[in-house]
Formats: sequence, C-alpha cells, structure tokens
Amino acid sequence: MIEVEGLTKFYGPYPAIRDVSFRVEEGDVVAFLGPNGAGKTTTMRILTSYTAPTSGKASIAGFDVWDDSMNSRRHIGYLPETSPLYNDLTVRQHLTYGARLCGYPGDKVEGRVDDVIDLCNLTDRADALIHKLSKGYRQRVGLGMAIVHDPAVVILDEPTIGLDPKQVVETRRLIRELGKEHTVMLSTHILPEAQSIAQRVIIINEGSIVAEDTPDNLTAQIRRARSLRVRVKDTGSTVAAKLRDLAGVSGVRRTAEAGDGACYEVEMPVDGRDMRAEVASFIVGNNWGLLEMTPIEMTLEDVFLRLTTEEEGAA
Amino acid sequence: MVRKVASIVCLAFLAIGLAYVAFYLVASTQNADEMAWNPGWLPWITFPMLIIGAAATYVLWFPGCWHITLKELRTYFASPIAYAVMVAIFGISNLIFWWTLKGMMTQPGQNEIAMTTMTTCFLLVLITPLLTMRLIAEEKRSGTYEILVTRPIHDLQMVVGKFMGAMGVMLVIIAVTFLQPLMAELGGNPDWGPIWSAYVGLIGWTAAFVAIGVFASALTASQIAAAAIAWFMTIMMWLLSALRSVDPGKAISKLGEYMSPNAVMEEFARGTIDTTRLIYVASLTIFFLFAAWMTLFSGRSR
Repeated sequence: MIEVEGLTKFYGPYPAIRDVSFRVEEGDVVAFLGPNGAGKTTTMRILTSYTAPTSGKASIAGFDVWDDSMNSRRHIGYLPETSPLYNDLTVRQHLTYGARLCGYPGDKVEGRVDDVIDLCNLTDRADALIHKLSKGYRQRVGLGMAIVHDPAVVILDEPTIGLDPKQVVETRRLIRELGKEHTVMLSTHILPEAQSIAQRVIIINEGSIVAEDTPDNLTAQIRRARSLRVRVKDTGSTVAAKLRDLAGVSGVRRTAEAGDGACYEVEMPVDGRDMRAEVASFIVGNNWGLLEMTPIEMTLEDVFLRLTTEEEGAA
Repeated sequence: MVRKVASIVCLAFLAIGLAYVAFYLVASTQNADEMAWNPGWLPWITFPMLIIGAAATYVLWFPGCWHITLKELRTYFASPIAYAVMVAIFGISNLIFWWTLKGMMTQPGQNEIAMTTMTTCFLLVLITPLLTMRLIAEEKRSGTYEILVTRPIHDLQMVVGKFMGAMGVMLVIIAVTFLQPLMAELGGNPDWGPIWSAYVGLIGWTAAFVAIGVFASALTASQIAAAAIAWFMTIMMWLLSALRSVDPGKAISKLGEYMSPNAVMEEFARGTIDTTRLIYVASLTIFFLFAAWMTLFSGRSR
C-alpha cells in the first residue's frame, strides 16, 4: 500500500532523512518510532505530497506521490502533528468540508459524516464550534478529518501527543478500530504506544531507519538488554569485580549517585534470563549490605543507543 | 438527473449571456456616433441570465473550487471581518454620496452620481487587503494549510476558490453601495448609462484588487505582511495616475492613463465601456491569480 524507496530530503545543507526505504502492506498498522527530529514528520509530509523529496521515490496505492499526487492524495487521510483545524466551523461543517474536498459523492456525504461522528465519539459536540472544543475533542475531529473520505491509507502524525491518559487510551482504541478497515501508519516517540497499537514498528533515528520488526521481537530485544540498579552499603573497590565474575552478568558499572554506600549498574545476561534473585542472594551472601535493587527499564534512547551501536558493530 | 439537466441549462444561460455581451460590445462601437443607442429591453433578460449562468456554472462544474469558496464565505460571515469592512465602506461612501448630492444641488454637473464610484473604488483599494490578507497566510500560520493541500485539491482550484470567496463578500459590499444610485432614482432622474458602466468598472477593479490580495497572501505566513504587500501594490497603481500630467500625449502619460485604477475608473464613470481597459483589468486579475498559483506551487517543489 505504501512503498518508499531511497527517500532523501535536504533542508538546505541539512539532511532531514537519508535513504529511507520501507514497505507497508495493505491492512497493516505500522508505527513509525523515533525521537523528536528523527525525520518522522518529514517522511509523512512527503508521503502526503506536502513537501517534495530531494531524491527517491514514494507511492501510495501504486500512485507516485510526486508525479501522480492528485491520485495518491485521494487515497490518503492525514492527521498532522498538532491537529490544525478551522476554528470557526462546527464539527459537522468541518467534516463535511473534508469529505467534499476529497470529492466524496455528494449525496453520500451527509451519511458518511454522521458515521464518522459516531465512530469518533463526537456525537455530543457535533454542532459545536471547533474553537470551543478541548484538546481531546480537537484530536478526534482531526482523526475524523483523516478518515471522513474513506481513504485506503491513514497517516497519523503523533496522534496522542498532548492528551491526558484517559484520552490517550481512547485514541489508541480508535486507531486500533481504524486498523481493521484501513492501512494505518502512525508516528510516535512512545514505545509502549507502538507496542499496543502496531503490528510492525519502524524505528528511525537521525534520518535513517535503524530497525524494522514486530513489536514482540523488539521488546524481546529490549527485555534482554535490561539491567539492574544495585545499591550496597560496602563502598569497597572489590564489589564491582566480584559482581562481574558472577556467571551470566554481562557488565557492571559503578555510577556516581548521591546517597548511602555505592551504586552499581548490573547488566543482565544477553539470553534474557531473569537474574534478580541470584544477584540479590550473591550480594547478601557476600555481606555487602543490600540497600536497594531496582530493575532499570530501557528508555527509548537506550534502545536507540543499543541499536545504533549494534549496527556499527556489525558493519 | 436533475443535476445533469441543471449543469447543461446553466451552460446555456452562460452562453446566451456571453453572446449578448459580445453583440452589445460590437453594436455599441458601431453606434458610437449616435448619441442615443438604445439597447431596449433585451439586456434586462440577458444580463441576469449571464449572472445566474456564470454563478451556476461555477457551482456545478467546479465543485472543488466551490466548496472552498463556500467555506471562505462561511468564515467571513461568521467572523467580524466582513461586517467591520462593510460598515467602514458604507459609512464613508454614503457620506461622500451625500456630499456629492449636496454639490449637485448647488451646482448641477454631469454624471456626478457615477463619479462617486471613483471614491468607492479608492475605499476598495484600502479595504480589500484587510479582507484578503487572511486567505492563505492564516492557513499557513495555523497549520490548516497542511490539511488543505494534502487533499486532492489542485493549487489552482485553491487559489480560484479563495479568490471567489473574497470576491463574494466584495460583491455584497458593492451591491449595497448600489443603493446610492437607487436612492438618486427615487428623488431625481439620474443618467443610468454611466452608472451601469461605472459599476462594471468597479467590479472589474475589485476582481483585480482581490487577485492582488490573494497573491500577497500566498507569499507569506504573516497576515500583516500580506496586507502591507497588497496595499503597496494597489496604492502604487493608484498613484500611477499622477503620470498623466508629466508629459501629456507622450508614452509616460499614457501609462498613467491606461494603468492606474482611478484613470480607468474615470473612463468607466463617464459612460464608456472601453474593451482595451476591460481586457487590461481582466488580465491583471488573471496574472495575479496565476502568480499566486505559481507561488504555492513553488513552495512545495523539489
């Protein structure tokens, strides 16, 4: 449904994305994961014909986004990052406008708009002016705008950004719902979000694709890479060396944290074995005085670090 | 089915109206020497046909443009802009109309009622940028430009749609200033020939000013800058009329005579519909709409 090949975009001398290639099959829900400034929005803007790529090709439903953009745009529904809307229209007028601009058959527009209002839970605000809506409602109207003309591909740029937790859950449910009928591509910088919605995750960093996998495989990789933070009373220098010798531990690093005793970061084995109990009893056995032990959840930045260094190692 | 019939009927209306205009222009030039060439009752049927035909053709044959126009009209009349602009125009132009009437009572002149349209035209120069500045600049600033251009809408459709939206508001304003000659008709016997031609000129120049405003709005994301650019261009054009007195008869004076809105309006207000000047005004409009289109197009090219 979406085919991207060797896409590169320069803003002046600065590359926003470099040689990005990927494919999204029909019916897939794909998350585009990366930190701010990684090139997610740029890629999406090229896919929606908002900006032109410096080089490379992209096509939606078989139509090139540059040479045949009228047709490719017909098959796209797009929610930009901040969900920009016309403040002086009502929700219903806004969605009708969206459908009409996409050439949705005139006699069916009304029914379709009603359906979308239902689907996006906007029934109680259908005739309210946009500028009176809360952020959550605005986001849902934006989603409605993206699907009102029933496009094959829905592209959502950070659909849950700036929403409260309840609205986030609501929006994710809605996106999963959309995934049943449309090919969905969404961008996010929140890992659990990608996990909970998408069937496939594309990780992008500094303009290049770093990894592309199912969320399960990626999380397995992350779980493997988990580490423990350990605080012991003993400030002696032998602790780190002895911990390193413990079978399975792949690395120990002393961290300069304030507080009692000494703090260490103990990396768990590569095979993903849970070693918390072993580490705890080892410390207790050595009588170092275990004060604290916390598993460190990998943040997205750690995943990037790991993935990028791994790639470099392989090359 | 109804729609198909309507689409064909509106084309027929438009064709009949245009045919009559062509006939009228030819006939009036051939009869230029005869002071009183009377077209009779025919224009009362053909001109409304032309207007209805043109409007219906726009709505039925260019739905992409029309939906944008409809949305722009909705925005204008839902916000204070349109009303503020209207009040300003009516207030000032009616005051000037009153002065003109007072002047006519003491010193009866020729076609003075038509001449008030020149003042109206200058007011339009001042007010059009206020109306057009938001058309594209606001969308760029608020980000809605992104949800507009990612829909299957041609840049040209967008330009024309927005142009027609602002033009709609301007036509309402012009229609209400038309109350002035109507009032004159109630209390006297004004010469309607120059009044009609003056309004043709007024509508033509409004189209040109709005096109310039759309172009200025496409250039920038700042509404203030858009208004400033539009004012610069239109007021400079207005001031071109000063060239007329530089070297009478020479090319430089002709420049002022043919290019500045007030010099051209003067011709129209005298009762002559000059094809050269009509074509000039129309080509200004088309040129600036084209420039606006190119501006948007180059904004997203490689």
